[in-house]
Amino acid sequence: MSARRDDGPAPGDGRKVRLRLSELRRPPRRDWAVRFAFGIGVSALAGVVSVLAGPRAGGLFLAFPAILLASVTLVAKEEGVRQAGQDVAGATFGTLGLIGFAVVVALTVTLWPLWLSLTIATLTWAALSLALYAAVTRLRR
Amino acid sequence: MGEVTDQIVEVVLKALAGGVFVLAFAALAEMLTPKRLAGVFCAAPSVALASLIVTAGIAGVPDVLASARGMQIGAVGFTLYCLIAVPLLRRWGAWWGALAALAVWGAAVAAGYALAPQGLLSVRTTAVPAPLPWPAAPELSPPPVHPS
Repeated sequence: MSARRDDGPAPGDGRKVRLRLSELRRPPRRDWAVRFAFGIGVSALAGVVSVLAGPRAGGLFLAFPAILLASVTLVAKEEGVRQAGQDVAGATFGTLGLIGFAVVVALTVTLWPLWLSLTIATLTWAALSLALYAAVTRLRR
Repeated sequence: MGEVTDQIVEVVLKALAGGVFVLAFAALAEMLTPKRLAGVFCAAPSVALASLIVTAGIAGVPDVLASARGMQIGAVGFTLYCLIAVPLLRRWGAWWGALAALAVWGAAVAAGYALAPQGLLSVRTTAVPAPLPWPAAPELSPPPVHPS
């Protein structure tokens, strides 16, 4: 589910953060299909709960750990429980970013256009998660 | 019948958009190096973005606000899930550890949903109208003093 370390560290797997388009060819098509299916499943679940119990209850499932759950079981099978645990530890920083995302949307969505509110919220998620990840990684060294 | 059809359309649109956004974030995670960052992208706001955009288009901004308040609780539960899942995975293995942590998410979210109706820290927004200054309290002149 997440970017895998099939053959050890990928080229350029150092401290620098880079985007490499060629990496998209690495995972098999089946992996992309599984990801798409999980996205559909979780979003449908959130949508059904929202219709049946209201948008606030549906909102709970916008931060449902299904995709991580799927990733953990797959990674544990392919690379061992230790690696799966490391992915979960990394996801912790992403969840702290998610809290920031939701707070920013709640604070701004009635004041700003939707696109701006969601863009700033997404940037908040990225900044918070990556900054916390970098800070904790540096402290552990 | 029309309302039910609309609700089905809403769920289908959210599901398709969710699939697309999950793929987009997965592609981003795949392209990104170092690969150590992959775990962070397991908690990307992909489903949230898709669902909130469709919600805004169909139901409007008040429902987006309510969803975001619910999401705050869900995200706190997600953080607890991650914190507790690491030792549980080591102790009970991938499946049972992850499922037990999911129970923690459920309990945390249920408690948060009941205890924090306005979301985290009772976040106030403009949707909650401030008390209006009008009608202002009339200025009362002090009662006349009658020296006895």
